Amino acid sequence: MSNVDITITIQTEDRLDGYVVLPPGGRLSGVALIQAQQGVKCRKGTLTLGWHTEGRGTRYDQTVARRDLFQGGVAVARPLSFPFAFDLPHEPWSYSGHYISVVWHLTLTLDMPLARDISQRVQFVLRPLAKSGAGSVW
Amino acid sequence: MKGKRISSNVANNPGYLIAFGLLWLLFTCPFFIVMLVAGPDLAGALLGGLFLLVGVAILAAGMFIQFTRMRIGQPQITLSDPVLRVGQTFTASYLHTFPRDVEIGEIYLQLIFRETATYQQGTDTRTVTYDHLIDEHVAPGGTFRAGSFINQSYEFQIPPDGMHNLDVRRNRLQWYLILKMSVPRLPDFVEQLELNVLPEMA
Repeated sequence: MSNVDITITIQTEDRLDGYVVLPPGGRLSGVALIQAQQGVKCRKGTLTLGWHTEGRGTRYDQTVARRDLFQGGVAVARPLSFPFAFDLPHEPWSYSGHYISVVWHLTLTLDMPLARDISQRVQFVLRPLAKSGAGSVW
Repeated sequence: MKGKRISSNVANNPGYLIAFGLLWLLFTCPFFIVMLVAGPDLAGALLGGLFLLVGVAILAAGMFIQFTRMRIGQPQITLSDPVLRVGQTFTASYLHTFPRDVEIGEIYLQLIFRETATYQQGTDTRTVTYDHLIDEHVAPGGTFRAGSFINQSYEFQIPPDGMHNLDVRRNRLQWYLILKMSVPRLPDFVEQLELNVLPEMA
């Protein structure tokens, strides 16, 4: 059980089925908050923007951007807060189908020495909001 | 013809099937002949004969498809725009001159969104496809004389909430316009046209 709470908040006004929706080519911004119940020794914290396929086909992973947020550990009484911003690519759009889904994600990873990394991932939808809004592939 | 015709599809190009059938026969014929000449090994001859029959069946299927294509001729499908965007409405013009007298069933022109997923199962590599039928136009069939033609235009739309083409390792999302027609006593005629749908809204 992890003794670190990681919260990633994406700033947006658009939501679809509970997911944050961001336009292709737009800007993703938000805040990552790291709070430790006990002191955590880690090498660094990294925020990664990427997408992957899910479903029947062999998973395809693509990292689009990576930011090192900090180096060193996380103290108990000092929550760390990191505003972030990424320029989003124009493709691929998010998709949820019969055999294949395309899923965008933002992942914060704490690189732990001699231990399993701690990470928190949030998914979001990258696609223009359809004007009709009905019968979406999402 | 605008767009990209899919030549790897058997229905579109029976040449692959004929070549495969010939190759199959080329390898199985010597085996069968050796079995017959070698002596009274009934099991071996039966097995060889079975393999030979499979080759003949593949070859026959390919030749039947080729024969259908010769009877039907080559339809021309022209798109109003070779590059499409999500939400775009486009026109597909279908021009078909029949080279011979032929009787055909209903003619289907379908807009399909196809998912193709490839995965590993043990040592086998498997591929599955799923077609989403987005829209379909049906034209009546009938008996067509040599030289008669069909000239129709149909309107389609890539849905505004649809997806663009995607081709990454072992995962493909593609748009197709598929022309289908049945010919009595022959395999169906199928022509596929891949559409280029960009990740942009119309």
